Amino acid sequence: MNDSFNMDKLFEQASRIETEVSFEETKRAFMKSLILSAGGVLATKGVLKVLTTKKWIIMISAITAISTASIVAVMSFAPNDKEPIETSKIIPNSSIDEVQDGEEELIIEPTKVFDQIDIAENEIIEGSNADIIFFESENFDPTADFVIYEEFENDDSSFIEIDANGNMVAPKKIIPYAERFEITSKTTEAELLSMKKKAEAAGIKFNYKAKIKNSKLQKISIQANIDQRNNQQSMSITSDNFKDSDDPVIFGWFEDDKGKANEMGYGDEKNLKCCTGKGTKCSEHHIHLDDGGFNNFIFSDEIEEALDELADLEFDINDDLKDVLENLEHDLEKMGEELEFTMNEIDFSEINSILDDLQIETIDLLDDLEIQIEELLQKNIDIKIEIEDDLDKKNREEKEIKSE
Amino acid sequence: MSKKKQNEFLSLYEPVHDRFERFCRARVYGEMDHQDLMNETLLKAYEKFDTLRSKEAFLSFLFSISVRVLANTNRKKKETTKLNQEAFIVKDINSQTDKNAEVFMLYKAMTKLSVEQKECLILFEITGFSIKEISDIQNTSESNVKQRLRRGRIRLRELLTEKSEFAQESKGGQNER
Repeated sequence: MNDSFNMDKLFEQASRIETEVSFEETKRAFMKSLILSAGGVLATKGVLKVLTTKKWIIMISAITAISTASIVAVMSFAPNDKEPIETSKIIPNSSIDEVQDGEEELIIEPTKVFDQIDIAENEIIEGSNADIIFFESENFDPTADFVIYEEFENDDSSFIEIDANGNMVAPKKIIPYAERFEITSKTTEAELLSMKKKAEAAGIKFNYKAKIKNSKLQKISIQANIDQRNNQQSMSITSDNFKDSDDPVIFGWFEDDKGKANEMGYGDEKNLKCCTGKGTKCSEHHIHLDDGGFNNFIFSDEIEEALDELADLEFDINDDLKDVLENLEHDLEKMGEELEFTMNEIDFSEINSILDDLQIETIDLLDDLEIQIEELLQKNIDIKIEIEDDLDKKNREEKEIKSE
Repeated sequence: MSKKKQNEFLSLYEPVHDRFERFCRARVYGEMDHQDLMNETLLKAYEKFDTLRSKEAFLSFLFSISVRVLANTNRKKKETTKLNQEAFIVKDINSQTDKNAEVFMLYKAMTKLSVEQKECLILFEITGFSIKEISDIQNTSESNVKQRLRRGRIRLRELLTEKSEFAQESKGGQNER
């Protein structure tokens, strides 16, 4: 009985023992568990969302790391002595018009084609263009010596005038040619023949060679000689390429009382030039026979050499572009080979170890993030519970006041 | 989360909190933190709160869930550890004051009982459930509950007597020296 009494007493004490955990504490813990427990709690959805994005973050980190590692590896394995690749382009002068304003720097290469150079042009066009016609007189000598001209005072010294005061003055009087000719691009072969006849009638051996392109005189070379006992003169004129706007080639001769030519002149009467000698070469002048058979004056050896070089240039824009493209292709192939070689040289195990470390670090970071989020959530829950407690207390107080 | 449901649940729980807390403390003494059991039970109860037909049955509803939770926990743990005499000197994780030392001694003694006997005694003696209520909670017959109570008390008396004798022997030994 004593034992039974003691046991009942013990049970009674146990049934009256003070609770260690209050209702409020239990409620708080319950609320926390309720919110954090999986399944349908809005607050946890955010956490779960973060956790589901974990995989994505890891994947993106891995991809970024691989890309970075590849770039670093390529940069580090690239040969240092290789010249940097220029982003600029070389564009021929002929395509300048096509160049639009862009971001890339343009280096305009000096043109290598000179349309104005007859020699080069003739080389290209001759024989392939049926519109070009050469014709010359029978005795035209393409190897004839060239003639040296000098300024000629073309005034009549015997010409005297009396001025208003009655004084005798001798003003400059230009003596006109007895026969004057102007050759332009419109000059025809018939006109040239007419000149020849007139010259021969005046005692001048007259020969010419003409180049006609598209029915227009493009170039003319004239050889004229006076061969008399006391007077021997030669005149040799080779024009530049005629253009519509160009000044004409002017020449003529003076005649004696018998109507025979005694002096030939080149140029306008006001700026007349007459030949003073002849030869194949002098200190300043040089004769050049082009492929068309025309002899040309070259004013310095350097220019002639330059023209020769230019004439030798067989520059073709298309060929040049092809070369550029071929070079580019070659460079690209080389780069591709170097890239392959570099990729083979890359130590992927090292990259993988770096990636592993990165992944571990990422996971650690995410874990920390998860913990921080949980802490924040718990803080929020605590705050919420406290607010609810306060509200409950207020409600109770209101109820008590009402009941009172 | 339904605020209304929460409030209703907590309003029903508040009056039975003390009894529930005592039950849990006595039931899992020496095994686990009774707060965990309370929490888990409340969560389960809240989940199944919609199935509760009458508010009067909330108490037995809560304890039934608690008993089932414990049963599931024990099944998972497959506890084979049996407390022996040394178990009495295991530090009580729930004891905080010396005033309730006798009660904790009772708790300790009850750990030697079978789960069914222990639960019956706690529910009947400490929590104050009737035999019918306990039979409902344990999902067994009333006669079984009575038998568990009787056998549990006998066993508990033995244990407490052994304990007191052991204590007295220890005291006597010390005096002889």
